[in-house]
Parts: sequence; C-alpha cells; structure tokens
Amino acid sequence: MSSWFNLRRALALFRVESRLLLSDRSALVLIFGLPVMQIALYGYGVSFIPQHVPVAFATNDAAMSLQAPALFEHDSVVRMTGAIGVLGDAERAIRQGDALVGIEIAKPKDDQPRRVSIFVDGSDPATVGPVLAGLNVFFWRRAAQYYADEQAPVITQRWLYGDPERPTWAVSPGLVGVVVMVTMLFLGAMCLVRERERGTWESLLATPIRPAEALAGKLLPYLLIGIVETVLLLGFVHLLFDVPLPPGSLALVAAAPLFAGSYLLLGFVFSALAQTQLQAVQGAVAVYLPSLLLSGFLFPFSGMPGWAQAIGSVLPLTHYLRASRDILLRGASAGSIWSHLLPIAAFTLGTTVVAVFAFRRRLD
Amino acid sequence: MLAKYRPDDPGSALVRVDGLAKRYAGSRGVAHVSLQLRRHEVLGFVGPNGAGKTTTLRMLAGLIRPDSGTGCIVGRDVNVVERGSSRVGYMPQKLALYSELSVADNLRFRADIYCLSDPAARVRRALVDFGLEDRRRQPAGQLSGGWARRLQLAAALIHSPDLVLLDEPTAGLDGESREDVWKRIQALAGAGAGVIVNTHDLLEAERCSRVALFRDGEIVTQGAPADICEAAPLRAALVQCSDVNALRTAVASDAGLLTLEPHGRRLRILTTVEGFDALCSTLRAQGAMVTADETRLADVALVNERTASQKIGAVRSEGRTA
Repeated sequence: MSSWFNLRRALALFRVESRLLLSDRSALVLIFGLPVMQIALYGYGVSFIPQHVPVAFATNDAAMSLQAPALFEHDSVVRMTGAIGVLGDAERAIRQGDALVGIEIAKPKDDQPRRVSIFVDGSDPATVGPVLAGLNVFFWRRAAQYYADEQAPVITQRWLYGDPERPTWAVSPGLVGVVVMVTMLFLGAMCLVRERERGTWESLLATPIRPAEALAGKLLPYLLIGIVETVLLLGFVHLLFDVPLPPGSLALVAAAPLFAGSYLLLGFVFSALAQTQLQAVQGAVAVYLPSLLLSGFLFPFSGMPGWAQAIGSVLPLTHYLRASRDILLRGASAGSIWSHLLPIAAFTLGTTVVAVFAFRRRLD
Repeated sequence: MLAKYRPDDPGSALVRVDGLAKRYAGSRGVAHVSLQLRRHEVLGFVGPNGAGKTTTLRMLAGLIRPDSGTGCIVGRDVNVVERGSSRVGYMPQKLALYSELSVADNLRFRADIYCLSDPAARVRRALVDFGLEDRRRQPAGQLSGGWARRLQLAAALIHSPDLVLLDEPTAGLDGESREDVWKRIQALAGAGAGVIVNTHDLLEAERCSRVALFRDGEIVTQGAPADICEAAPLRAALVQCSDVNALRTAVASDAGLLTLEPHGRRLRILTTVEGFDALCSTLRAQGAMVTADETRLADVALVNERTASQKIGAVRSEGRTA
C-alpha cells in the first residue's frame, strides 16, 4: 500500500461513517424523502411561464376598442385588467399597481404611422418578460398580416419601474431577502444543536429560565446579525448594481427584525426538535428550497398553480420579496410595506408558539 | 397525600416522591421509585449503568416528566416540569460549560440566570470558595478535567440551592480532586442542604448518610450504608495462607462462596451467611488463618447486580481466576 494513502484506514472510516449515517433514521428519511417531495413540488408547481398577468389596455381608436378583447382571448398568459381606457389610463394602472403591462394605442393622424406605447412594470422581470416576448411575437404576426402594404405602427416601450438594460435588477432586491433567510434559517437551526453538543442545554433546562426568556436571549444576537446583514446587503446591491435606494428603503431595514426573526424562529424549531446536526440542517433545507422556488424570486409567482401559490403565500420570503421590489424598484412609500408585513407577522407569531412549545419539550 | 415542603421547617422533607416511573421505547426506564430526603442528608444513588439513576435524578431536577407517580421536590410538584426550580442546583454528568467564556463569565452567567442580587459579589465568593481566583480569566475550555469539574460544581451551587443534585460529580477525577468534591458535598449537607449524588464508586457511596441501591430501574434497598451492609445476608473474611492455589482449588466448588479476591498479601472472601462457618472450617483445614472482615457496600452492590443464576457461575469463575 502506498505510503500517502492507506486504503484500509480509509475503508475503516468509510464503514463507521456509513453506519453512523444509517443509524440516524430521521435524517435518512429527510435525505431521501426531501428530494422526492421537492421534485414533485417543483416539477408540478414551478413554471417559467406566468399566468393571467394583468395587462391594461387603452386607446382612443374606436376600431381598436372593438378588436382589443380578441388580444386576450384564448391566452392564459395575460388577462385584461379593467375596462378599455382612454390614453393615459394604461400607464396610470401600472403606477397604481393594477397592471404589470400597459398597452396604449393612439389613433393614427393623417398618414402618420400608428403609435403604440407599451408601459412595463419591470419590478418583477420574471413575470413581465414572457408577456413582452408574447406581445412581440403577436405584433410581428399581425404586422405580417395587416401592414404588408401599409406603414407599420411605431411602437415605443417604456419601463416605468425596473430597467431592461440592467438584468441584475431582476434578482438584486430579492437577493437581500434570500441571503438573510438562508443565514437566519441555518443560524437558528444550529443554535440549540450546538448547545446540546456542548452539554449546556441540560443544565440550562434545570434552571428557572422561561421559554420566552430563552428564546429572546438566544435569538437576539442572531436577529441583530440579520438586521446588520440587511443593511449591508442593501448597501451592496446599491453600490454594485446601482439598485435605487429610495427613502422607503428604511422600511425594509425596519422590517428586517420581523422577517429575519420569522426564519430564525423556524430554524430554532428545527434545532429544538432535531437530535442531530444533520436533522437540523435537513429541516432548514426543507424550508429553504421551497422559499427560494415558490416565493416568486426565481419563477413568476403567477405561473404557479393555486396550491403552489398557497404554499408560497405562507412563506415570509414571498412577502418580503414583494416589499423589496415595491420599495426598491417601484419607489413605493415606506407605508406600503404594511400589507406585506402582516402575513410575515402571522407566520412569525405561529412559529413563535411552536418554538416555545419546542423549548418546553424537556429531555424526555 | 404528601406533606408539603416548608422552607422554614428543618425537618421538612426536601424530596418526597412516591411511585415515580418513566418508560422509554426499547428500555426499561425506571419504576416504583419512592424516596425522601431531608436537610443535612447526603443520599447516594448507587447501581450499575442503565439501572435508572440518571433518569431518576433528571426527574427530580425537573428535566423529565414522570409517566406516573407523585411527590414534591422542594415544594414543587414533581409532575410540573415547565422550568427548573431556583431551590435546586443540578450538575449533569457531562461537562456543561461555555468553553469560550472565562471562568468568571461562566459563573456570572449562572448568577444572572438565577437573578441573584449583587451577582459580582456572588461570583467573587464562588471564585474564592472553589479556589478559582487565579483562573478567573482563563477560558473554561482550557481548564483541566479537575478544574473544569470544580467550576461546574461552583456554577451549580452559586445560587445556594436547598437541594443539590449531582450526577457522577467525581467521574474522571484524580484522588485529590475526588476528595475535594466530597469535602464540599459534606460541607453542603453540613450547611443545611440536601444532596443527592449519583455514583459508581461504592467507597465514595459509603460517605453518604444514606444510599439507594438501583437495579433494573428500581430501588432494591435504601438506608444508611452501615445498616444496608448489616442487613445484607453476607459475611466477609480475610484469609492468610502459604499455598494460595491449593486453597483456591479446595474452596472453588463451595456453594457458600460468592467472591474470592486478592487483598494485599491476603485473600478476601465473601460468602452467604449460611455458608460462612463451613467455608471457614474448610479454609482452616487447609492451614489458612481466617479473620472476619466487615461487609462493605461494594459487597452488597456486587451481589445486587447479579441474578441468582448468574451469581454462582460468575463467582466461581472469578474465584478460579482471582
């Protein structure tokens, strides 16, 4: 046997490691069960094609008004929001958050080409991208049919929010929430397991400390990390990718304790219930992946079936992501964050109850 | 109905539990555990591994909820385990220190957890009492086993508990450190606390005012060590002879013999009460000088650990190889 690698020693270690792994049945269930669950979840639940994206339509051309509904018929990707408006209504609908894409078609004057304006809310590029691509194909198909001998209309596309020239903006705002989520989830998952391994958990349980005191004392340092991390990440995406930092960004920082706390508490629950580090980590992964995929961060939320949207709606990342896009890309006011915070608060409250119960579980 | 604990009454029982039981899947757990502890008493839990000592201690510490049974631990219902009691000091067998924190910071943490008034003074006093002043700034993780155990004991006692529960407090310690721990245990009892100690060391257990002998999850006997030894149906003797091998052969098949082991230059035999006289006669016939010896707790525990069928075979085989 060569002197730099002793196969017998390596095999001895391999045997022991395998036996340790096989003896942890809960972890095995998670290791093999999670991928099966995830493949089913993401295979059926995730799609790159959004569904029923709200599109506002406005025109001052009566002929176009008659043709407009045909645009949306037999197309599940888009749906027309509201009635056909007058010029300016489509842009207004986007600014009010009622639509993601607005189409305004002006009646041609004399022999000028028809003018078509496309307004885009680019704060959720994964959703509007396929719609714009669909409109593009639709236009050229129609152009080939109707404008062969005429002047093709002049189309202008205007991104009211977001910037088509900056693809990093598509992920940057969401990335803040994703990174904070991952950090908190894993810090929370490790905090009690570490205490158990150190042996201090047993003697701590024997003291008069209350679950709420233990939760607050143990999680507060990590919560502060979450807040600092949020500030740093917002600064990074601004400095590196020029993502705007409007005054409303402070609301994202103010909401960080709630958002970070939700995943920290969830990690703590896994930590309290797990017997081994592996189980705690697997528990964290079981939440981390659905959050990433079902929150609308990578795939359009509207493209998911109802049941997947229901799961996504429970996840705090979904709502923090929307708040981040609203504030950073749409320039929404700080006050707009409340509607996003309520579901996060409900999730945090529920997780706190479970965490307190998990702490009250003693050594038996 | 169990009598309530009255802190001002020195005669009031600190621990009074009846019929405690705890079962685990795949193991026997503990059953029918009934015991009492008063101030100034040191109660030793003695028995082999898996006999139920630690489970019982954890139930008394409020770490495990009993499946059945009643009782009070310093005034608190043994079935209420939401949080520990500030009247109880518990030291687990495993070292439970924050290794990155200094000795003083570990003590300060415990003082704060118990919301002690003037915590700094309590920490200073603990450092002095346990001889840890010179190591006050040393990280706990850098302490040797003996010093770490001493710090752990100081941390468990910083709030001056009425009831002290110690799980194998001398495990892994050298003779001097063990002696130090036992002096502190005696001092605690002398100062009015009640102490329960889990121990494997039967010589140490003889220093307890009372012991409870565990076997298969139950207490088989409890009382003062001397009373237990006296009541046990055992006799011991020291044997001096010139030809040890011949003597071993002569007594190996004796039904009354339980153990035969070297004891300095002599042999020590342990027999049943009924078989003692006959065995002594056999030994004397071999030219041996036989002197009666005191029965020890270790003798009782040894017999306690064996079932009747195992006893004969094991003892005889031990007798041949001793």
